[in-house]
Amino acid sequence: MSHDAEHPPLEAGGYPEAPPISDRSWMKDPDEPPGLWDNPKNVDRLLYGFYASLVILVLLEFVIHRHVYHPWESFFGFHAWYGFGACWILVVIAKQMRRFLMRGEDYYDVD
Amino acid sequence: MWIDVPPFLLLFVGGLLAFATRGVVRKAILLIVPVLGGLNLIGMEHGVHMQWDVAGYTLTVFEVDRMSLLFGYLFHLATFIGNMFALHLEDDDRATMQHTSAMLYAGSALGAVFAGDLIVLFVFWELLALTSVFLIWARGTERSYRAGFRYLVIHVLSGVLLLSATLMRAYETGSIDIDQIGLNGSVYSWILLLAFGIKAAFPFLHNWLTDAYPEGTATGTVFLSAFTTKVAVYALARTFAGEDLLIYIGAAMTAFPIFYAVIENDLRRVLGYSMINQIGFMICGIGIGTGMAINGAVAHAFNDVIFKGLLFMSMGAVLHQTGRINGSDLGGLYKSMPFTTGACIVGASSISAFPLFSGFVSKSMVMSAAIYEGHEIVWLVLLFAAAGVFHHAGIKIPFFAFYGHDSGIRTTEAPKNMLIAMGIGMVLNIVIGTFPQQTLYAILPFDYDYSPYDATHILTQTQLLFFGAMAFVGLQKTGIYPPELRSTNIDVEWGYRKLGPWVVRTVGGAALALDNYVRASVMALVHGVLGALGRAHGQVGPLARSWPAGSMVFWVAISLAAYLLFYLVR
Repeated sequence: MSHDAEHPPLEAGGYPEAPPISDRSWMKDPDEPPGLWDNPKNVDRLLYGFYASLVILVLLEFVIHRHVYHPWESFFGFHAWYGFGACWILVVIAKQMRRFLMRGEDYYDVD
Repeated sequence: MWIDVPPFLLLFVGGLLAFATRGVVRKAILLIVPVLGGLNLIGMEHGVHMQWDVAGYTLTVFEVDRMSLLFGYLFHLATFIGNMFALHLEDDDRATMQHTSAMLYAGSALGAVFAGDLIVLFVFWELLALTSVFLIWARGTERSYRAGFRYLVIHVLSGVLLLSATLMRAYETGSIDIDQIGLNGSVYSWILLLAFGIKAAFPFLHNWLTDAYPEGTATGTVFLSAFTTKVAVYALARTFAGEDLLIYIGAAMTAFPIFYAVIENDLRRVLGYSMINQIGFMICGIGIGTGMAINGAVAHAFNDVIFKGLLFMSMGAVLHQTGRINGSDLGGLYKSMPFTTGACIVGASSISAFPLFSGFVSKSMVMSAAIYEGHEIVWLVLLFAAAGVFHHAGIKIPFFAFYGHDSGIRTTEAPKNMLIAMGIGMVLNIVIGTFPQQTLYAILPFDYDYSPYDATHILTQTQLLFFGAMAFVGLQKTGIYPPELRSTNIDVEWGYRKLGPWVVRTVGGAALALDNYVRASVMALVHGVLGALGRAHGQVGPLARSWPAGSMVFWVAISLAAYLLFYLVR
């Protein structure tokens, strides 16, 4: 098989016990049937189920009386928006950190 | 037991046997010894077991109580799972190196948690480093060699600090006991905290972990993730419980590594950062120091060994089968490694603390303790970290390895022993998560009634996680989510891998230039003085016109003649 940007050759230090990359059985067979998640419909179904569960989780607040330990917790759906906000901010900040933290893969290997 | 067998001894003997044997015999030893060791602990009486008087101090080789027993069981369990995971290794030198090293390493960890005093702790503390480094070097690459060496230097330093603090304390107080020390204003207490802090991967001291663990072998890193940091957590729980500073250190540890984890490409390094995040919860619990918080800290240490071990096993299986571990190279492996995919998802659910999975029943104890004790800001940070851990360890690891963009790599499932080891990990995570009262809670050090399963807690945690997942979906759909890139991210190690060598080169270069200048100047001076002397005393010099020997004979003759003259005229 040929190496390209998508399938680079095993870098130096590749795990010695791995099968050789020249072995064609590594790469997918062109006639291979598509996997479960290759079908966008299945992905959409999963996501719709996921969105529905989000709605249910928020609506459960009307049914379940939450104990509140922190004043912010009494805010409607506190944990929902906190979880969403935390992850969004985490990724956005981390992405910006790349600007000054990211170096080449062999950064420490060369002087 | 009818006789006291120190817990570490069985594993040490097992390590030597693993070194000497091959084939089926060795495989049997690798599986039987941890089981025997675990049985040895059952029914072991609490208290001091073996003491020696050495140089005026009473050394306690091992001492048993509820906390050390909990870690003892845990380490035997981890050794069994780890050995099972590594069982396929062929009978070559590299396999012998790993099997022996793993057993000795596990034995050292047991020695450390059962150590009855700080001197014995120090011995096993250093052995932990010396025995484990071979699990990194066995990878056999230049990178692993260098990373292992850095790992060794840092851990030996930690041991030296531990010994210094121990000796200073013994000098000041006469005690070498492992008991509540805390920051008592003495220098030794700070040095001790630093020694423990290095092994526990405190912020700024953490980089050895994310440097060395990803360079270990596919099977070796499973052991590495189990022992070293947990021994440090144990030591801190013994000596610094209730120390306020630890609350803030722990909170910082939960928060900062997750940013790195999001942008890191090497999936085992992502797990390394996520490990620091989990240790943060434990350190925070130790800092809070109530019975519930300490219970939470050690319970989380217990669970972390199992779920982080499971995650490292699933990534080890991927590395073993594909030779790759970067998120940018992987994807779509659910088609060829479905069982490993399942194992990874169970591990991910556990570390993310989904209800019914193990992380839920221990992380919640620490977080509840934080809010009960009025640490509101810390609680908000922990909550942020709890959402973040789901994001990077819970979603990112399985998504980029097994789903996401199909890399086109097709392989087969890992060897059977690896699947069995992962299977054991999966079962443990679910059983502990579902029945905590009958399993983990029954062996916690403090009696404290706690039930994680109330409606509020289940609802709020599920909301937190599901909406965290929603953020991932949103970020992926909008293209904001940063792609996996082949890269290195600068961390504290930059200081000793780039800045340090640069300083040495620059300062060394300057020193060399100065040295050359001084030498040249001095040589010029010496030459000048020699030249001047030569001009005055040389063959043509005014002070050396006659031969020195001739002039000496001449003057001796003169003085003898004068002497004779004085003698005659007297």
